[in-house]
Amino acid sequence: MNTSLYDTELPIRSEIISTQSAALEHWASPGTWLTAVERTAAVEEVRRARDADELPPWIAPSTVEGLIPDDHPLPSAAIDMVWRVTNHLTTLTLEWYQDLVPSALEAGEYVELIGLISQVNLVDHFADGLSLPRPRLRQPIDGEPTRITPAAAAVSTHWVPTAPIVDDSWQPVDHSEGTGLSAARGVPNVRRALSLVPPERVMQWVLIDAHYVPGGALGGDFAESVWSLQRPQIELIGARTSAINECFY
Amino acid sequence: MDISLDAVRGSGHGDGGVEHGELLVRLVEAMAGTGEHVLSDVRDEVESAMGREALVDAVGVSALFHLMNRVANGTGTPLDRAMAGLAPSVTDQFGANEYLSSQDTPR
Repeated sequence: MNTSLYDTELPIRSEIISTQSAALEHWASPGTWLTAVERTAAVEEVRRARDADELPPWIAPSTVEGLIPDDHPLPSAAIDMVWRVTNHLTTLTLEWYQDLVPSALEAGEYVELIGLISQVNLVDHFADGLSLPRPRLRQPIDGEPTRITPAAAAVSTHWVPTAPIVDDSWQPVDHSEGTGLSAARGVPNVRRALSLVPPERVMQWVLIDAHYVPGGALGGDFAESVWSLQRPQIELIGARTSAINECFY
Repeated sequence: MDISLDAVRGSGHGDGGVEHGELLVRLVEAMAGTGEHVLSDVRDEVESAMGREALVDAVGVSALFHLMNRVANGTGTPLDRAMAGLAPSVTDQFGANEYLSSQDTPR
């Protein structure tokens, strides 16, 4: 199968191709707090971090002579954050976050970068996992960041400020009867995590729906199959990946 | 269906009651560069045992969790209330209470 994104005979589903293509377009577009040039630089920095000889987490890459170009579009704090989240995910703490925000980065910038770093890690782990060339980045698109903050954004449950969201795609099937769990669980916390920067939250869930299970099926029957996998296989893959990344959520 | 969490602890802990579970765990570990598995060898095994579509989808699911884990750990996302009550008995089984990210969920 030849596609515009991956030149391969592997049967990559159209949902994966179309949403990853959308992500590439998204990365090269002006953001909420960052320009397209800054966003593209962040994406390139994720790739540089993944491919570099590993640095210990306590060494900031911006302090390593010759590692980061002097004319980099991103401030040192953003570069160091990209490397830390990409290569040392198990070491992130509230204290680390508070050292960055707001003294070195605005909360909106931080959340936008988390969105980008996460999306690039998905696309590149997918390509690397199949030994395919990583998709080529698009040229940055001219334009200014919108700098729009959602109404009622505040720090409540997460480190970062979050905002109430209306999420029509979150319609879990109720299989809770007799389990002691309530079906009225509301929107999961991870679904609200990037709500300070709505375009990143939306992109996150577009990718999730295509690669994992659609939002409405999250609470679905565990015996069902999704795509070409059995649901327990999907959950085992997710659980083992999360264990490697030491993600409690 | 008799599913256990043993396989979440890593390869060498069985299939967790999941069809091809041990093989899928090795695929995840090879993608993440942990363990001593050779990615191309594990991929060949998955393709042979489960087919090419399943290989692509399995790689896609693990890749997706590399996204999800970064969103959750990077924003200090706490467990959802409905899960928090179930968590201790589950997380004890594979040491998740020792993760730094466990501090984001109030106890």
